[in-house]
Amino acid sequence: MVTSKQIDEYLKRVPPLPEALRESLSSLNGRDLSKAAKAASDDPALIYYLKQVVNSAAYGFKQELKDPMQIFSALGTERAKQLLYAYMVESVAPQKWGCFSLGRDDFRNFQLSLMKRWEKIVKEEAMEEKYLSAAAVMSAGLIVADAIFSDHSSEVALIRESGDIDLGTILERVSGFGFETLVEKIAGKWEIDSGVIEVVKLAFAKEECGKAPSCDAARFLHLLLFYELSRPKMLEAGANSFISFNPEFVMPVMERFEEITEIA
Amino acid sequence: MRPIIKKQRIAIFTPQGFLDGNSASGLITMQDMEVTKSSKVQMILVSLKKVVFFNKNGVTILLDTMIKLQKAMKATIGFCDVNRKQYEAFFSFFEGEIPFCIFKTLDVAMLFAGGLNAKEGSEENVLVYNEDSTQRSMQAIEIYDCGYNPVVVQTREDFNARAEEREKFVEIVDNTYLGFMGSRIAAKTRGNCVIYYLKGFLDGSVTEQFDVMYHQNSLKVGFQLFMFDATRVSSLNIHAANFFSKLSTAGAEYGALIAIVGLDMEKTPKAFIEELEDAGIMFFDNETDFFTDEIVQSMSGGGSAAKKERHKLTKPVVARLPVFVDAAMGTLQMMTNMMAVKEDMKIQPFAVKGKELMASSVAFYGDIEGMVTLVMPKSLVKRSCALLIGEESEDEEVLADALSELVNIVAGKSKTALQDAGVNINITLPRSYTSIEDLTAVLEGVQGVQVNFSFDDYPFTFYLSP
Repeated sequence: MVTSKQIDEYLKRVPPLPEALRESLSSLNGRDLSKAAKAASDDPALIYYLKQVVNSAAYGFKQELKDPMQIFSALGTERAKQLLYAYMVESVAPQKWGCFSLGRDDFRNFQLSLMKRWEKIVKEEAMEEKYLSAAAVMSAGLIVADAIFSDHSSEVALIRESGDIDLGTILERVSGFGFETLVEKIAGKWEIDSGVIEVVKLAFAKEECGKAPSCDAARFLHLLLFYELSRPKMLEAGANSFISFNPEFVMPVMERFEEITEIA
Repeated sequence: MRPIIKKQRIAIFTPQGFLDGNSASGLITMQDMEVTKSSKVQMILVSLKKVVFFNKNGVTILLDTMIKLQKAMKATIGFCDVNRKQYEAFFSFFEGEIPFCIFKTLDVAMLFAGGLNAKEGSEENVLVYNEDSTQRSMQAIEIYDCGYNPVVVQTREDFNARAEEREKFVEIVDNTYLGFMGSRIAAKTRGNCVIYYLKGFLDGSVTEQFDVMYHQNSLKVGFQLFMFDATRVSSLNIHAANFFSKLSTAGAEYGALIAIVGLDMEKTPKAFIEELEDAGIMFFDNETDFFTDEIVQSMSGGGSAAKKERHKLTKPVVARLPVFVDAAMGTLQMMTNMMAVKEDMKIQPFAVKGKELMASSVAFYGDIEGMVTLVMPKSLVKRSCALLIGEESEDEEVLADALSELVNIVAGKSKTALQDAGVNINITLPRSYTSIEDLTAVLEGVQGVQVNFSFDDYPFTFYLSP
């Protein structure tokens, strides 16, 4: 159904960071917001995206932010980085989703909601700020899954009629690859911080995790991902079965998650 | 979310993550309801195996939809794969009687749905424990009605002690609650025989309680022995007698034998007995007499009478052969990542050679009718089903189930392809064979199209029969 050759071809098609974005990120790593804003200004599509997002209800800034410098200043270093990666992720999203019944707005809403709640968790749990980008990168998993399986959606539907098998498991059984590996490769191509990549990889909940801060971050992210994938739109889109949810993996942080997200 | 249909008895929804007031509304959409209704299952369940949070609001919203399905389908509704904490949560959400069922696992639900195949020679004991004595009794009665022997224990301590002897029980039932149960007649298969369990006074309502589709599907995939266990029937009236008489007449086309076992002949009017005997129904005092009867034994391998009366392979069916063959090849190639090579194709009686062969059949009916059978060595079953079961298994039952799913996929692909060409078919429950002799007996005297393939070094046979 899906061969490792097809997966390699897909990974090759994922574009590297555009020059403006690379420069902007590099400036953000040096904590120079002004230089980062200036670099980003060279990419009109990026600025258009940032304006739309930061002026949306999700961000809730009182005044409309128009100028790149205003936007970067309001966001701060790590939140700006998170949005730059979110932009990259969205730029590789399909025009027409083949496997999940999603539109471009649906994906953006999912991604923004994931990132906003993740921000709250990172803040409440006093995690390293750099982990903010993890949610944006995690959302790339859905895009990868759709790209890999869009030509095989009828076969996947037939297999899924026979048993409770998520897309991640199907991919592993037919190709030996997991989505976490593919997302890791893409994140590497985009030169994302290795600590962030580690959290994202662990958040697929495929391996045992100890008590390291990155493990707890991964547990929260896995749980948050499924919180968002349990929303009606994502259920109807078939995205709830994107990967396998691991209840045991998230148990150590469940209570705290309920407090932070106020769902209890 | 589409339900997964298990053994044509249970439609199961398996959400992952959260089941609250917000998410519950998106779990079963109108389209999902239509798919569920068309499946004609007797149980509709939501698995909580991968649900980490649920609340009363979520369950209530979900129940609104499930109750609509229950009313439309006269099905049992409930939740399965429930841990102790979740089980207790239901009782804290709903005061008084819970109007749905809770099953500890899907296997326990399948037991109550009559979908666990009985193993010949097994004791068929089921260990039952519930804190509530009424529930204990209800569960014991239901289990008995499904043809198993309930072993009820009164205390948690006794239960824990008995549960350690797992091998003595086909299933262990605890953390299970029976709310409203559907009233369908329980059925299970044993070898080549389908056994139905009747109870009480039989009147015209038997037609509503009997799963006609399940019975017809069983006939189509070659079951010929049907035993009605009437040991708990007090008596029957003319409407019930007519029902059995018609059932027997309809089954004659397939050479099916219907037997009623354990009926109290003293309480049954003689005229009814004569009418039923005239319709070809046999009566036995008990199960042993039935299974040791010469006629029954001669048919237990499938019998041959049916094949003579079966329809012949028609031109419209043969014309669609490439659709079925492509679906079979495509599915096997998809499952194994191996290329298929067609070796030969002939119209002939079914004939396969090889060691450790397994097979599964699925019948189809509608615009065209027939039966597709796939035969392959156990080693290829293991390989081709690895995608479905995730690991290599030696367990024949697991492999047989996986092979059935594989045949289901082939039939599903064929159905879709035929639909695109304007040909509508329905498909039956697959039937697996771990013994090729049984299959050979079912297909004896039949002329079908046999296509032999090889997948690398594995032989694979596709057989299309009337």
